[in-house]
Amino acid sequence: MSDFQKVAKVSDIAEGEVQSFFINAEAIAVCRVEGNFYAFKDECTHQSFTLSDGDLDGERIICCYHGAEFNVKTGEVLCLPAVEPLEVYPVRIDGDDILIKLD
Amino acid sequence: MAIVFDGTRESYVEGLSEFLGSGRNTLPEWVTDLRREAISGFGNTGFPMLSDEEWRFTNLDVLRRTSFSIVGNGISDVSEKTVDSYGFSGLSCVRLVFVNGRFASPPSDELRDEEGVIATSLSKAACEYSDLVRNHLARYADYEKDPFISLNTSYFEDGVFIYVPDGVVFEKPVHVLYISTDEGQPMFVNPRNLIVVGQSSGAKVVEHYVSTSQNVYFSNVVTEVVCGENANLEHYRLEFESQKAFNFSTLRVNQRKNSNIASHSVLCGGALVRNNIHPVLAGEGCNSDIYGLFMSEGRQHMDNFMRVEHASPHCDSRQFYNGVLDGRSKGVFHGRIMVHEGAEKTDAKQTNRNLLLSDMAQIDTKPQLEIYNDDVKCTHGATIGQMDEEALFYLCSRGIPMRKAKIIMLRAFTNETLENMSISSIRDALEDSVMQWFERRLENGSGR
Ligand code: FES
Repeated sequence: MSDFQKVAKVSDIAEGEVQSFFINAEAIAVCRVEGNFYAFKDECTHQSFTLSDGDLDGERIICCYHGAEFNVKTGEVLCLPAVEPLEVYPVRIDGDDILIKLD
Repeated sequence: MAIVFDGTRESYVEGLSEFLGSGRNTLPEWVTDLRREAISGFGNTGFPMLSDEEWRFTNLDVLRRTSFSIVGNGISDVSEKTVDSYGFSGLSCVRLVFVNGRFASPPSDELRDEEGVIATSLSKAACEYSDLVRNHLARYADYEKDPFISLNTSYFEDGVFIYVPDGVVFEKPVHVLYISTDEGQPMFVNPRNLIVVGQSSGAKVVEHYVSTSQNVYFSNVVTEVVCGENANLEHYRLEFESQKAFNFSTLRVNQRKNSNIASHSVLCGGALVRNNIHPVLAGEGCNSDIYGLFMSEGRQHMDNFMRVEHASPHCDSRQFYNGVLDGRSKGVFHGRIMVHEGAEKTDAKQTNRNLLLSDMAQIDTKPQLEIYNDDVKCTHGATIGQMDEEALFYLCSRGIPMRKAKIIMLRAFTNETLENMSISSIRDALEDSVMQWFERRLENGSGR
């Protein structure tokens, strides 16, 4: 699984929006911040709830279940109760396709 | 025509009328009534959420948002040669084959012997031995509260039926092979098995799940077992399915007085796997041994859920469950021993040991005791660790190369569960496939 794979279309995601997709059983969240696309595992590292149910505030995703916050670009934890960083994936745009790389 | 489910609760509920009218429901009318009751159970529950305590480590959003279909006629072109390739060398057995959840008559060896032992498909048995099947089918697995049992009861097409009458010890293992093929779209298959072992009888049943290609599908298995007084059953569940499959299974065992069961699970395939084992030690003096080994790599998620219910006095249970996790895979062990009020002199033990081969693999383990009686002996324990550096150093200091030393260590770890299998050809084949799996991991640089 070392290649880039298509996860969504550029036109699927509006500015400031986050959406969830699946590659096999893996839930992937993709968001658009100031024209750039970021992809991360759509599972909060606190208790595995779906992160894309929460709100995106700039580069910050806020888990709506217990309030953990992460940077969508780096995966860094910005607010408890999560302590483990979020897995983020490299993104490449190819025409209208958003490709990501799962290692 | 395919019956399509878009992942929503409504699609599964509404799909039942299409299923019943499609000619796939080849079972008698009383089963249709069961199906209707079961689907209303699913209508009430839907798929579990993370907020359900029993599912708190397994996010099922993927199931809620993936479409699956009931497709094909089940007799896809699986050649006899392919079927033979899943056999175990040197094993003399009765073999029954199911393709995409439906019975494949040849190459199966159906059995109705002079002692009264029956091994056939459940759909045939429900017509031919209606009373026998009716006495047991859906009597133990809770199709009203458990959503996966509800779905299976609603949509099963076939599975194995094994019956061993009182006083007969059937020595030959019954090898039940479930093959999934690529039907061009994600399939939804619901194998349903019923195993009835009479009083003072014995049997060995091997459920073996494989795929001919790496495709996505949703396999939802339910097996009900009735173990009569003084009966002995050895049950195997070998899961080697597609690495993209969603595999859910439930083994529900009802044990009567002085019966013994040994359950062996080996899980290797699947993207999202949930293995439920639920024996109820209903009669006095029962013994239940549960052995499990799961091995995950990449991004596999394997959730093992045990519930051992001691409902009568003087019963013993043992759980030994080992996990080996690599890559970014995630494992869950959720083991509950429940001792009911009247179950004095219960002796229950549960052990879960996990070996992490990579920094990114993760395991959540949650042993639990729920005891309503004072006169019992119950222990539980869980460990999580890496390969023991000191032991590796010791082996290397004796001239054993590091790679070989790791293999020796892993073999010792996995054999803690595999060595309890009494069918040596299966045990040997599994030891080999475990070693091949590990060698591949070592080649990829894992096995720290
Ligand atoms: S699950 Fe996200 S903060 Fe708890």
